[in-house]
Amino acid sequence: MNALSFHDVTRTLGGRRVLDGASGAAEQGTVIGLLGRNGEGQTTWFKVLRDLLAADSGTVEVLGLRPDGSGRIRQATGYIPERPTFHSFMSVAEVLALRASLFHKWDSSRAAALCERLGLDPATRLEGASKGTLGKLAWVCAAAHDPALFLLDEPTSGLDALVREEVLSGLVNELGEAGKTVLVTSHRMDELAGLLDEVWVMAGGRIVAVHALDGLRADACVIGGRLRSADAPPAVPGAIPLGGEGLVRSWAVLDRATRERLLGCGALESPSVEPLPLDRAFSHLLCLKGGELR
Amino acid sequence: MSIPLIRLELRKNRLAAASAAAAFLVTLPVCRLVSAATGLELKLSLDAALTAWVLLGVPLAAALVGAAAGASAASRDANECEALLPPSPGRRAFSSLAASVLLAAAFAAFVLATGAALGMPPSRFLSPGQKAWGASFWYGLELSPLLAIAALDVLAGAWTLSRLLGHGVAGGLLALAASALTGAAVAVCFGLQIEHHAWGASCLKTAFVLAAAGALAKVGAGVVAARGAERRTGAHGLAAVLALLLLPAAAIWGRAWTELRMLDARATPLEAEAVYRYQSFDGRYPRGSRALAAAGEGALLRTVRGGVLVADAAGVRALVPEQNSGLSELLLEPFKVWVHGSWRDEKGVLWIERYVSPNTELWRAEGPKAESRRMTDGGSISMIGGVPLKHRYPDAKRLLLAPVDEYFVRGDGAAWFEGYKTFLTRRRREAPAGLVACGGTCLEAGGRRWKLPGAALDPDPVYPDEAGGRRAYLVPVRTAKGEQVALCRADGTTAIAWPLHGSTYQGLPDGTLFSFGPGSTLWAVGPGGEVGEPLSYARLSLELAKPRSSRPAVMRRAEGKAWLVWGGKLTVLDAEGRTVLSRPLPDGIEETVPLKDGFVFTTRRSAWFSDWTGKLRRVENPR
Amino acid sequence: MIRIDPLSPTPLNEQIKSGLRGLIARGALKPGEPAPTIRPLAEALKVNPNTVARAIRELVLEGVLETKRGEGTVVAAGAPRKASDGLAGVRDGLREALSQARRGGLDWDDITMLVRRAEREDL
Repeated sequence: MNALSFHDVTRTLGGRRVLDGASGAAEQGTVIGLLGRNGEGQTTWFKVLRDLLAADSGTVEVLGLRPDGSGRIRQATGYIPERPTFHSFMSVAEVLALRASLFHKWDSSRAAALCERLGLDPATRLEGASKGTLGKLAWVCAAAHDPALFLLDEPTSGLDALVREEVLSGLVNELGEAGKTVLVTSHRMDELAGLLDEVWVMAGGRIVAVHALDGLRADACVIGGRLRSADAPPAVPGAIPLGGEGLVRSWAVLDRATRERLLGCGALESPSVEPLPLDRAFSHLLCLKGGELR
Repeated sequence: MSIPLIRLELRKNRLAAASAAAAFLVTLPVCRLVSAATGLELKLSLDAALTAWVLLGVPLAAALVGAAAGASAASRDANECEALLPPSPGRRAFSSLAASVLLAAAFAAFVLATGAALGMPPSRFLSPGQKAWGASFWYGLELSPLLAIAALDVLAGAWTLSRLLGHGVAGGLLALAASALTGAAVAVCFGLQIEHHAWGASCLKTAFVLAAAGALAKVGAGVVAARGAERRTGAHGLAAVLALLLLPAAAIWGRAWTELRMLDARATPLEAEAVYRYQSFDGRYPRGSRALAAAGEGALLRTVRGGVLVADAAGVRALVPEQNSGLSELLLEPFKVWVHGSWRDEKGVLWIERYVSPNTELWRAEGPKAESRRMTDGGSISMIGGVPLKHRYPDAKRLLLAPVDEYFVRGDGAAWFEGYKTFLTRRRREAPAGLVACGGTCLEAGGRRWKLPGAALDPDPVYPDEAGGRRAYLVPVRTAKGEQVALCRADGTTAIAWPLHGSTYQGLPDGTLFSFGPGSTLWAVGPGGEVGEPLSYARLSLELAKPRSSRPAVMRRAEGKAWLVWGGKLTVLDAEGRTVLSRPLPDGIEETVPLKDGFVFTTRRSAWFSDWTGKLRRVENPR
Repeated sequence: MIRIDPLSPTPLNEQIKSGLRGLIARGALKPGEPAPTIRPLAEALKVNPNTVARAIRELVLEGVLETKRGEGTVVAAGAPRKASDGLAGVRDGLREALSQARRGGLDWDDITMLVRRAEREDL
């Protein structure tokens, strides 16, 4: 079953097509890292997924629900915004009480347990609270109503190492329960690498690439070698040229098919294949744009 | 809307309401200081301050909380943090609006409750017809719906504009300006007595503003969340809302302006006076006007749900017009139906003029055939000289009149005639108007002539009263003893009824006519035309120590005694002015009407009948 | 106890498996003792619990761990030998390969490159 599926979603804001035919589907239980540079449409896309902004066209289905402006989707999803904001005149306990009154499936004992785990004192006032406190509270708020889908926008940004550790542990703990689907963006994707099942790349308002993490781990590599002829560099789609001088060139390759095509095209003399660490694979993915290389 | 959200909004905006309440509380000690410094009576300064707080402070506080809630609904922080919650942006916006309405209502309740605690009940401010201000012009006017509409209007405007602008001060001030513009137009319309025109338009404006607020709420976070991108949408929205706010005000002003330009025509002394006299109910008649007014009195009317409660010499009963039905009628009735006036014409037919939005209805409540007619041409009806006349101003210079009976039969094809003087000339030819003749020393009516005991003071025609079932004329004259009122009896004899003191006299159901004289005296002419000795109520005046009205309401004058309602009591005085009976009556008496075997009075909520021994029974409202 | 490198090309479950094997071979975990439970291990390593579960499942299949009724997963009786067998075999093989490489005049960089390439081709 798909926890999330969307097809050909477009949305124009202020005359700019922020979402431009985005399509994709996430099977229930998968952990997806969303890669994308700033301004490629993630924020708008998250709004559409949370039913805060209607798509101009296309279909969206989240946990079997169509966005209808009613907030049913927000009931069923857990969300951490990039900059967690709360009513500054409240205390942690009051924030939790408000949410308890608005989320049908809110579990107060679960919220209390999460606070306990993260070392978050319910009596803390939020006026001038530290980023750490806000981050922890955001996590409690996202998880206490037992959502089947998490939408996490930079869940660890701005948090110190200790809090980051706690939040990640919390996420791992959630994943221990069957069927939780997670969609997460992060500028520190490396620290999430142990959790991800897939990475999606968003660029130009579209999902331009989907990679299973196991595949990326196994297949991402740097292929180097000497060109047989200087005027015929191989043109293999998907191979990212890394440069080189003269006849000696190298490419980053992220999937097996491209690797085999590059190795099999016969343009290279004594090619070498070196594995590519994930963090560098992620950086290469970030450079994808509109399905083309940039 | 949802309860947790409303509670959240109440909490977010309580500071605005609390500061309004604090400002209000501060004025109370200030009143004390002012009265200490100026020697003004404390009660008076408190009264003035509270009146200002109720009539101006409540709408201002509504603007304040509306603006605060609107600005906070537009604030980035609130949006970012509340967008995570399940309720839709629309529900959040409605909750914010609802919370500010609740806060404004709480503030109003707080001010009124404080007033009540200081001995000034809400009706003192909201029902000026209770003579708190002594202005008959406001007779029967109920301010609470007006105030509620005004407060709601300015609140919704402030909320919408603050939400659109993302700035509470600017939004609040703009909304106040827009509402003040409408309010001023409405006030002018009230002054011109064309408030029914203003009423619809100002309600329309409030409806517009609420609709704009609703539409904005429905549009949701869009405007605010992507502020940069959607700035143009915001500007369009702002222009639309401002247009909605200003158009109805412009319509009202246009109407008022048309009416204002006709003012010089309306102020033509004779005609304006003729119309004006019959719109006033209390004792502020010009000298000699009583004769004209006589036939118009003796019925007490209250609008009640679905109809009119009438109390007059014939008893108390409910008159329920047939066309009142349906839910909308029931709900809107307090807003769109009210009674302008009632008259009993010389044939004894009771006429009720009602305004049923958007038309005036003349309703022949009793008589041969009860019926009503809508008047859609904007004219109105006044009782002139015992005859209900339809009148209208076709242009700035002319007044057209038509007998209502003819108007009924022929509609707009009625025999309109122009001007009040024409009417008087016509009336002169008919009985029973009395005309002063012989150079002011005699009165002629119906072929009969009376020699007056002095020179008549006014050349105006004199209309008769029924004294003892027979026509009698009361003519102000100047004699050797000064200005007095002469009684011309049906049998041709004349006598001095009483000294001319003030201008009015009144009739009682048994045919007695009475007037107040100098030195707290009550004069009367009995049903048979017999002139009696004056009765002094000076002692009672001392006993009651400053009753609210300066004169008692006379219910009966017979057997040498007088039945008076004064200072919340029924008192019976004997010929020497001694109290022989005293009975307390329910609080807050508004109007009293003498009947044959007792009298009827109304309080704010109900009507009562009392017999001559002071035994009370409540008169049930119809339906 | 165990260290893994989430960015390494080696699959995570393999890394977890070798980590656990190492613990057993060094004697840090003795036969009959309960194996690490999935969730705490996943939280400590910051990996998906499913991955840990898969590693443990495979170790059970290999006979390094065993599932006992009422006790959960424990270290199997013959585990230390099996674990170090694997390790010893690898150690011997590597030693031989290294000496061969030195004889061939390869420097350390060449050797690591060869190891990586071998790993690539192995998969």
